[in-house]
Amino acid sequence: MIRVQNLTKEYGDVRAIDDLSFEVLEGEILGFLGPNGAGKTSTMRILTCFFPPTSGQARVGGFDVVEDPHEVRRLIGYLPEGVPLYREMTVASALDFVAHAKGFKSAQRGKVVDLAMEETGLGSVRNRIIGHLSKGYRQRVGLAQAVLGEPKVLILDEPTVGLDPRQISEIRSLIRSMAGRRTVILSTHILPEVQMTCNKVIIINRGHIAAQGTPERLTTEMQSERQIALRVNGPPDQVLAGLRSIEDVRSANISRAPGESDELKPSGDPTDHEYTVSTHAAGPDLGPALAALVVRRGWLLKEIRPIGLSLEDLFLKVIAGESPTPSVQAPISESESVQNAV
Amino acid sequence: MPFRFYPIFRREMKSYLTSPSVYVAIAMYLFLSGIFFYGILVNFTEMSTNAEYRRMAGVETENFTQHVVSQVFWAINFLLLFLVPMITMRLLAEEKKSGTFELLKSLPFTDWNIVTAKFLAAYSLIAGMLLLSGYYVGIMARFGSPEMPVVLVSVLGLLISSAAYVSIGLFASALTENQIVAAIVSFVLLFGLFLVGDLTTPASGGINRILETLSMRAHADNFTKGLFRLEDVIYFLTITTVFLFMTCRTLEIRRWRV
Repeated sequence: MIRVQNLTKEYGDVRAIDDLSFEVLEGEILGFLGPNGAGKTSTMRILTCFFPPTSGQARVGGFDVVEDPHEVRRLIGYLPEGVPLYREMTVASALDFVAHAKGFKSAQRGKVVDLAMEETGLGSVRNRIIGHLSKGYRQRVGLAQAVLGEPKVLILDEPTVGLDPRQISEIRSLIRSMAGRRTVILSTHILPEVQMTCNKVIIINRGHIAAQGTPERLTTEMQSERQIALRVNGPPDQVLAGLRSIEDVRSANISRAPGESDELKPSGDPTDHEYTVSTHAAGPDLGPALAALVVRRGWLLKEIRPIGLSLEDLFLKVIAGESPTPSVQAPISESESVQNAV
Repeated sequence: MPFRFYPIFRREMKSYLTSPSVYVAIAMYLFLSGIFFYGILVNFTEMSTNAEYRRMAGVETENFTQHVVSQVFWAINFLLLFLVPMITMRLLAEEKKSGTFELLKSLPFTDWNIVTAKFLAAYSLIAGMLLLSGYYVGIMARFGSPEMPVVLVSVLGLLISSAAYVSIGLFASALTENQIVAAIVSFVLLFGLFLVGDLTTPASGGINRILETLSMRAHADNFTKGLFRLEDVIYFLTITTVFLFMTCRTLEIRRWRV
């Protein structure tokens, strides 16, 4: 549905997007993830024909954004960054304008406006002036403008910024509900948002794609090993030796000695040690074997949990991978292997 | 579709007609033009009742057209130079400032659609405003003896020249996000073009002709004198077209750069 090839955008000397290529299939929800200034908005502005790329190609629904901007505009619904709205208008009249602009005849306009309002929950404020609405409602008006007329492609630039948690979850479930029916690109710098709403992620940094894939795949692919944390009350030397004796365990270490405080989780019992056991990513789940061992030896098992690499870790890892500071540099080969795998 | 610009035009008109500042501008226009009208009439009455003065200056009541009609239309034309920037300054500057320009660009419109719609909206408002002051003509016809062809040419002239003023204001509005800057730029452009004819010096021959041809004032004066000349019409239509075209280009260049 959307195909971007070798896209580059320069503002004077600054290269905002550098040789970007990706593809979004029909019905997919793509999360565009990156720090501020990574090139997310620039890419979206090219896709919505706001400005042309410096070089490269972008096609939406088979139409080139430079050659057929008019056709592209017919296909997309766009929520620009910061949700610009005609604040002096009422909700109904603003939506009526957008419907009119999208080419609906006056007989159909009432119906498409009602539909968009229903979808975004705006019925109760239809005759209010937009400038007087709360931020959450204004955001919905922006979203209603985008979804109005059932466009095939939705491009949403940071759709949940500045909303309260309840509004955020409402907007997210609204976006999720569009999966399969519409192609959606949404940008964000909030990671859980992508995990919750998208079935494809592109991490973009300094105009480059740093990683792409499904959220699950990205998190697992990035991990070269699986880790399990255990909190055990028992003699440390024996516990370590016992853990290491299990087949498939690559390493076992004490990650936290008793008394050592953890900012996030104050340790309960001062005699507990916390251990981290690593295994190969492709290996079997060691949880049951570890638990059985601890119980068999008569030690007290206080806690056992898998350590998963969150998208957040991944994000930092990928971003850091490109940063020039060596101290936080992650192995570059890893992020490359993800790209190749995808 | 030939009337693709209509949704923007309609929205713009609605927004004009619900905006307090527009009513303030209209009230200001009616107030100031009313004062001019009154002053011109009083002046003319004094002149024509003063027999001695009449003999000395040779002023006759038959000169009503020259002393009232032309003066009133000249004053209105002058007022427009202040009023048009107030009406046009927000057209594009506001959309750019609030970011709605990006929304507008994502809808199926061309730059020309946007420019045409904005121009026609502001022009309709100005034309409506001029219409509101049409009762001056009624008063003049009822109590004086205006030459109707002169009135007609003057009205037509105002409608034609205000199109040029609006297009200059629209261009200024495309240059910036700041409405005040847009207004100031339009003032400078309008007065620059209006007064450029006054730069003529006896010494320079060829340049004088160019300056006089460029001068908006010289062309507008012809209308208020009752002269309907094709070259004046062409002059204003050219200015209108050139500035509309430049507005369009400005939007485009902005997009390539930003």
